[in-house]
Amino acid sequence: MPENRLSEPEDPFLSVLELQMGPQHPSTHGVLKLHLKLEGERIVDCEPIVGFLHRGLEKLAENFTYPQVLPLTDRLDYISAMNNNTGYCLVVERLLGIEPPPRGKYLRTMVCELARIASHLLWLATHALDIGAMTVFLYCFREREQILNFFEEICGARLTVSYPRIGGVRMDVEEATLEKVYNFLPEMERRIDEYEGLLSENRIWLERTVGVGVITAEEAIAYGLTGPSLRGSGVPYDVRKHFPYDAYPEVEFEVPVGKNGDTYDRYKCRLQEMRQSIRIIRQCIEKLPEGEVVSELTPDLDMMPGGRMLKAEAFNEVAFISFLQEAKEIFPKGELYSAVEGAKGELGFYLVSDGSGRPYRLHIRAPSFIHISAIPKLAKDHLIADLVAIIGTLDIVMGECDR
Amino acid sequence: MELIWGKIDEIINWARAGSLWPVTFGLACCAIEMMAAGAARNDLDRFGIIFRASPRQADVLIVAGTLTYKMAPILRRVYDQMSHPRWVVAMGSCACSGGVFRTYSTVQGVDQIVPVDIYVPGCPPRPEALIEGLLKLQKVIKEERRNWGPYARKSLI
Repeated sequence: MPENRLSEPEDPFLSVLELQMGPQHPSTHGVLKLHLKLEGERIVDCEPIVGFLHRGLEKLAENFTYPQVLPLTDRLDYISAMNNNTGYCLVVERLLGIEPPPRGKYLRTMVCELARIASHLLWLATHALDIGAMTVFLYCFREREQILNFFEEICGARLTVSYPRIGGVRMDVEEATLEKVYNFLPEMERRIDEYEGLLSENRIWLERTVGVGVITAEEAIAYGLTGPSLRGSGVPYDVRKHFPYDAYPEVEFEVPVGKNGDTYDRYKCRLQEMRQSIRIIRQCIEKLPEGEVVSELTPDLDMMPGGRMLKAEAFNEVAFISFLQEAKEIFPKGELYSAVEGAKGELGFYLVSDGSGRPYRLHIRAPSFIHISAIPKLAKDHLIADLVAIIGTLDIVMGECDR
Repeated sequence: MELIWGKIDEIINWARAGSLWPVTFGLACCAIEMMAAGAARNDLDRFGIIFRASPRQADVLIVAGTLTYKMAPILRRVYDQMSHPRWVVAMGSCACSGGVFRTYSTVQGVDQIVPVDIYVPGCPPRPEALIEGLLKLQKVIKEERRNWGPYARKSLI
């Protein structure tokens, strides 16, 4: 018999226990794996392991023409697809030097803010469910379904919309739909009051969120956090204010900031953001100008200049070569970076164009990827139960993180 | 004798089809629609379908989303952890066939990893489509014969 069989087992409270959390775990919001080092239940160290949803999206984009990449961006942050589409459209518009007509800009702003509300609702639903508030989950999904119904009326899809297009939006919105959205806004405001009534002064909620996952403003900037995760620490950085795009310079809104940088402040921040989004949507519908929704200079799906369509029978080898040559003429070379304020944070697209009709390289600055890198800092010296709250508060989406 | 077996089949299949407990295996976009199917509007609880977090307590594995090669061993492990009888629903184009992601890192259909009973296409499928798929699965279960006790059909792969 080996000697070590007889030796006393180590005390689990004195030695470091290693634990794998995820990737199939209901609270890790998708397929995130966390390698934890524990002393008892206290987290000593935590290492996030990503890549379980790496779909090769950036590489795939290199094989598609510019309009064909658009549906792929839906599948980045699938909770607020409108923001991703807009971000991608902006970078291609800047490359081509075209600008959407005013109505297109306003519609894009409106759907972006609707998507932001939908995303924050899903965040609140899952975050509250992780912490133990089942009612909020059901309430949030009720309102979210209404917003998805609007998306369905506007463009025919619920999640993966592809509604914003290069140079505007896919099609005009009917008056009846706009009226429905407008009438929904006061109701949504009442619903947010309802959520706040359920959570903001709830003793369990306060115990679980106040002082959990604190990050100071300097540290948050050093880690590269953006969006509500940064604003919860009191830094009023918002791409919509600092580098405005679409109709954002023409609408009034505030950037809510927190103070302590803990989970509770980030929660407050997001709820305030939903109210501001409602304000923006209201202004967009009131100020909505008449006219075209998509720019005349927009290349169509076959990427031919002047809006010509390639007929199916003409699409032989010779036509294809001339198509590639013509496409070369309309696409300038260059490198561009353009960012939008996604629901999670600053969503940037870095595009390298070599003059062909396809992106030479498309890099996506995904906020979730950067936020995940802050989990070890936030989770240190907390309990495992708090880790669930910390993952929830950062509002991560693995589709965007792993790409 | 056939009559008795038929009756036993009927009772067992009725019980199985009436309480399908799926394990939540949300991978990507489809997981959001799966959650929507379980939440307020499309209440899956009506059909006796209650989401479980543990594969040990579950009957159905709903693979919702893109499966990558890095995630494939984990899917197989979760499937192996489920007790018999067990069924698999592939939800969404990615789970059915790889969808738009015809790349180096994506499994072109989860049927390469686990046997699939029901395919629900769509990118992502609406919650109604998922409900339709689960109702179809109930129909499949109700038509099973002598899949219990010593006759239980163990999956071949």
